Amino acid sequence: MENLPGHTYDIKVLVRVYVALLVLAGGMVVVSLAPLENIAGLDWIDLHVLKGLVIFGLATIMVSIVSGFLMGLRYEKSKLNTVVFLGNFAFLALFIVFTWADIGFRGLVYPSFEEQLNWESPVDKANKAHAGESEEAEEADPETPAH
Amino acid sequence: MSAHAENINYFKASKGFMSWLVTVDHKRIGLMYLASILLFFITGGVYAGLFRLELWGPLPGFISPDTYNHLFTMHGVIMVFLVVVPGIPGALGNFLLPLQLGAKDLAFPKLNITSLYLYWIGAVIALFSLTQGRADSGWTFYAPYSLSQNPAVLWMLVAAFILGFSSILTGLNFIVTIHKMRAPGMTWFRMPLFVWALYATGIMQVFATPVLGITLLLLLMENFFRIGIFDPALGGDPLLMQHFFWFYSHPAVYIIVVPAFGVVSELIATFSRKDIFGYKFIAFSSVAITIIGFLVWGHHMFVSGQSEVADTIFSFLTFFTAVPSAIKVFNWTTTLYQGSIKLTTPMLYALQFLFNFTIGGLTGIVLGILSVDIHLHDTYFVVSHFHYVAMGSTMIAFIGGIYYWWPKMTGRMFNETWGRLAAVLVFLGFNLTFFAQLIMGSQGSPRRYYNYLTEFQIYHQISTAGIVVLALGLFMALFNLLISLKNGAIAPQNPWGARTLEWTHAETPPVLYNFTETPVVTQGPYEYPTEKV
Amino acid sequence: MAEVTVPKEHEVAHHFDDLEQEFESHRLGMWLFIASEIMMFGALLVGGLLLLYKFPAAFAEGRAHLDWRLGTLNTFFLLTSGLTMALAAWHAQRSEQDKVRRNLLLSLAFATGFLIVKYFEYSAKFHHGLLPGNAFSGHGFTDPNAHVFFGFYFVATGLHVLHVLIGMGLMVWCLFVSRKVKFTRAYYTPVEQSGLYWALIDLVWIFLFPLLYLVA
Repeated sequence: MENLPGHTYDIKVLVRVYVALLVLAGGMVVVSLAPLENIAGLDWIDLHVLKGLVIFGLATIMVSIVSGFLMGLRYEKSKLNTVVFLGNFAFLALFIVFTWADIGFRGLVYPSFEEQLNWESPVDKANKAHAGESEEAEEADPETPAH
Repeated sequence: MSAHAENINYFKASKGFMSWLVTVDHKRIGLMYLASILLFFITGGVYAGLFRLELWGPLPGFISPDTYNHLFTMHGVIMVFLVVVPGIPGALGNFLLPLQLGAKDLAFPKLNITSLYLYWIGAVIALFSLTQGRADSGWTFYAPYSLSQNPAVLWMLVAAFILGFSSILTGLNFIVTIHKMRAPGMTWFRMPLFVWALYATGIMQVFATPVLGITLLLLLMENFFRIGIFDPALGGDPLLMQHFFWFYSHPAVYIIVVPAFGVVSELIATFSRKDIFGYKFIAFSSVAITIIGFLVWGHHMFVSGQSEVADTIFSFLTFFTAVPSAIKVFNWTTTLYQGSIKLTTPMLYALQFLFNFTIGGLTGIVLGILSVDIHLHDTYFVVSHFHYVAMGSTMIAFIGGIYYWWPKMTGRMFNETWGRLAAVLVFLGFNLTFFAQLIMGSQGSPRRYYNYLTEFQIYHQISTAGIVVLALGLFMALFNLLISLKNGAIAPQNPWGARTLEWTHAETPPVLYNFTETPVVTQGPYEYPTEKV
Repeated sequence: MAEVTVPKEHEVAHHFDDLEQEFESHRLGMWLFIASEIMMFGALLVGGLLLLYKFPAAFAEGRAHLDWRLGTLNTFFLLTSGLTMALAAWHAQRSEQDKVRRNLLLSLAFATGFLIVKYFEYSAKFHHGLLPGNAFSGHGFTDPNAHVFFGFYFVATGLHVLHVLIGMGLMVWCLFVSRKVKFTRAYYTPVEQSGLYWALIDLVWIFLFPLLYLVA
């Protein structure tokens, strides 16, 4: 039985992985719900950002557990699939960094056209509509109580 | 299937129209790709011919401005998504990859036929869009113009989405085949360079095309539901759309041209009767181009309002693409040096490729310079640059490859004299058409314009005359091949004296499962017996 | 049909040399497909992160209208179905066809649970007019770009739901295969592959969930 394809699943590992994932997912929720009070010595960083980083850090751990154990990357002799998987993140990192190099730095030399012109925000439109409705409702109510 | 059936050639293994439609044989699928792609190449060419005729004179001619926009859009979409992107991998790659590796088929034969069907579905939808109005957004589908809910543009987006899927599946199939299906003794550095090129292409198809998919999907969503991600009228960022688009479409330029590198490597080695110079450099430069190709998309956006920081980074990185490209050109040239060169028809195309690609590549460097690009952006210079790459390099190498492998595919030899004559006409016609545009562009004539200043008329006329010569050459090349099907001499197993497996070990035409027995590879792909003079 | 068809042993396809080559090829093929899916979702998430960067206030406002409890419940559903898919592969390796089927059905049940929760979430959004673009009619929002959050929310979760449906389709396909082919330690590819694909859906959700529900 030498050339059996893949790896043999181990139920103990599966259960442990499952528990770890639940704990980490719970951790993400707990961190996001934690109150944002100033913690001594942490005033050099925006706590919202810190929270986001911690949450995405936990998500990254979860992803590596899922890919390593459930998807079996850890058990492979050839690391090809791992390279493919990590390649994804390399390309995506490039994508976000370079696009951010544009979006984050517009208008340094020449004026940028970030200002939104000639548009009406759907949010404002909705707010106006609601304001109009409630006014109408107030005016209309005494005249037509039957409604 | 009996053991006997496996040893007769793939044309005769089964008969009838249906046997082609349900086939999983990579050779038949390759031929069906070839036929479809040539059909669309002619279609796209007809569109180009029409608007070039219109541009004979500056004043409005026989077509209206709206029709003109529609024509160049159709030309772009058809040529990019239906011809050059699937072209060499779909037709030549499908046919040759297993043969060159010594495998019986691709790793996923059913997936292979699926991707052909997706190609057909995409093509039919693209043509169907003609009945829904006039697509006029250009092949780039830039927001916000593509968000104007033009039904023809919407169908075109759907078509491009499906074609992207077809491309992903082809690339996936190739990568798995190259990794897992090589014949005994076929080590990585014994693979023909065409296989290396397809490998590099596969990486780009798998990693870049999905981003095109999501871009088109977001454009569709934006059209239907106004989600406000790309549409500036809803708070979206139209430049984000361009980032998404070019993150695919710049690598797509390499999806287009890298397979051509592979074809040319085969042709030059075979017809110089010499081991290719710097095999590993050519192989790795294909992979290097793949990686660098992902880092430079922003050079399409220098004048779009992109931040100066991004401009500078992208301009800097763009220059690096020249390095692997130049390595290849130098290696091919060195291979020619002191080779026993035979100027056969395929070789004539390979030499044209070298000439055209050098111009195409160098003009690319010019465009990568920030300050120069501000002036040349959206002029005919850009048009000429990418035609020198997409048409002058890719399609020329494609035609050369078709000629080279034609005997293997069909079992017939073509007429060499007519073939050479056609190759010369193609060379003249192509350079006449696009060199004129290079000059006109450098003088500032903007592209995609319906009207132009009278001082540019002479260049437009040269260009239009050139396309007539080009068309003549292309049709001559095509008819030469078609006539050979009936009248051509029966091809021997290895008419060119090449050293790769499809010539040395497979019959002409190959049997159903390619080889009567699995070849065992003991030497590199270009090891010619040394002849002492 | 009077008799239940007896599952047969798998035969290696004509163009492969042996089982191992076939298995490894299928696995690499699935990984590459997953890679392309990750690029597609990844690009969408990159877009989402950049929108978060551009319109932090809009995302904060939008997020307040999502219920983290429902999101957490769905995370639980997906993680559990991931476990049952892995268990199905475990049983497939041990040739326990019945238990494979039981676990596939369990996975289907959890996936359905996910869809039901999603249905309630979507209908709440529709009810409050928290819709993309011009259809937006929610009130009480102050940031002029708040609708962009819901545009992104619907596209991202919609695409994810589509993949959940495809994944469920694969589970059903595995149920059919389990009637025809006998799974062994040497051949359990269909369950393994479907499990891989389902894990991809988990992966996407693991990033999507915090981006939409948790981070502000």
